[in-house]
Amino acid sequence: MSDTRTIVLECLRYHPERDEAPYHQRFEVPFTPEMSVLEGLQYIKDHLDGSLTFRWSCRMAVCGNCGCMVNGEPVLSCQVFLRDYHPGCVRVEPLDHFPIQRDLAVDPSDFLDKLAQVAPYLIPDPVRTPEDGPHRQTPQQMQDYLDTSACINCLLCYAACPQYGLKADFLGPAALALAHRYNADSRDAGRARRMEVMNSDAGVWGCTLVGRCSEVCPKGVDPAGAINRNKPAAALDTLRRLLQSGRTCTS
Amino acid sequence: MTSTRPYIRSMKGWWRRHPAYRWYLLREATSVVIGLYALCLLWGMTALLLGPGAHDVWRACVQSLPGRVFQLLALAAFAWHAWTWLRLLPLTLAPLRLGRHRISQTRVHRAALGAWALTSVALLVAAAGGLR
Ligand code: SF4
Ligand code: FES
Repeated sequence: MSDTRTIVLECLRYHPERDEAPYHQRFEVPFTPEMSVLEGLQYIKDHLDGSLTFRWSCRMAVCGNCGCMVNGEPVLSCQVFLRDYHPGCVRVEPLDHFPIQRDLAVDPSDFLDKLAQVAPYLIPDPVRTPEDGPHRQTPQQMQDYLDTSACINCLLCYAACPQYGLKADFLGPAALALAHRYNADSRDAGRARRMEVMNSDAGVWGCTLVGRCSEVCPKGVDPAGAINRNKPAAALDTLRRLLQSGRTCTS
Repeated sequence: MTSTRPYIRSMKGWWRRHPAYRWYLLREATSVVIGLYALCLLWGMTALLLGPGAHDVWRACVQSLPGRVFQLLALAAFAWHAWTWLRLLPLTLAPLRLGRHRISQTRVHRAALGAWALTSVALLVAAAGGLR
């Protein structure tokens, strides 16, 4: 094929049973213009080194599994193309700020624990049953949370957030954006429950508005916006608690 | 096989990893210069309270070469801080709507910049009037 060229993929390797520390390994990969970085990795796995480990599923920027650092940028590897890096080399590394499990696969457990803390589901009040029928809302009410509901849990925002890397207990961009997503939903009544977590040391105040999370998000979620829009509400919550505790002290 | 020994990478030199992190640190650092300038103004006000001698010392300091360089630095720091802060302003506001349409972040940023410029000009005019 005339439009086949060759590019170097430099992958970070780490096999815990064998390696003391990660190292880079270079692979020469033939590619055609429509090949994504993910397809380059798949070529390596199929033809050059079957032990290369990485995650993927949909190949169409939907499942959020294939996130990795490409030349230092957090990206979905199925969404970036080898042609755009040629003739340079493509350095592929696991997402920053997460423990490396094996080669390009990171351990996302920390994010999953934090996500569970913000109760990322509708908490209606009163509790509804299927007999109550559909829980309706207007298109305008849907607009209030639609952007944030696009999150695919790809973790690119965590890899772009230095605060998450520096402060281990910070809930981080996507978990807080998803808390906002449910708070902003007219069918939800769980705001007070989520506020306890959002207004804690690990919550919205951990964000110093670096803003990179919103820049790298492949779904236009704008986690930085979602977090910072909750700071006034969190401050009011602190004030309310102070007033309440003052009242209990004097009574 | 599940890894029993995940590798944790260090955050050492994290600001070197992307220009955006260095711009962010620069934005934060401008607060230090702005803080110092506020202290300088506070010194001036205290000197005014203490009498003409103290006030003359303060004036001589701010009119000296290092004093002028510091004020220029403070002006640059203020301008950069205001510019970046206003750029981030839309992120701190609930989405603004005009009828059924959302006002874009760029528009909010431009409106805030316009308000900043107008206020600055008004203050300059007022200060010039006061000096006359
Ligand atoms: S907020 Fe964006 S970058 Fe972060 S996990 Fe969700 S989709 Fe990915
Ligand atoms: S493989 Fe699903 S998002 Fe890339």
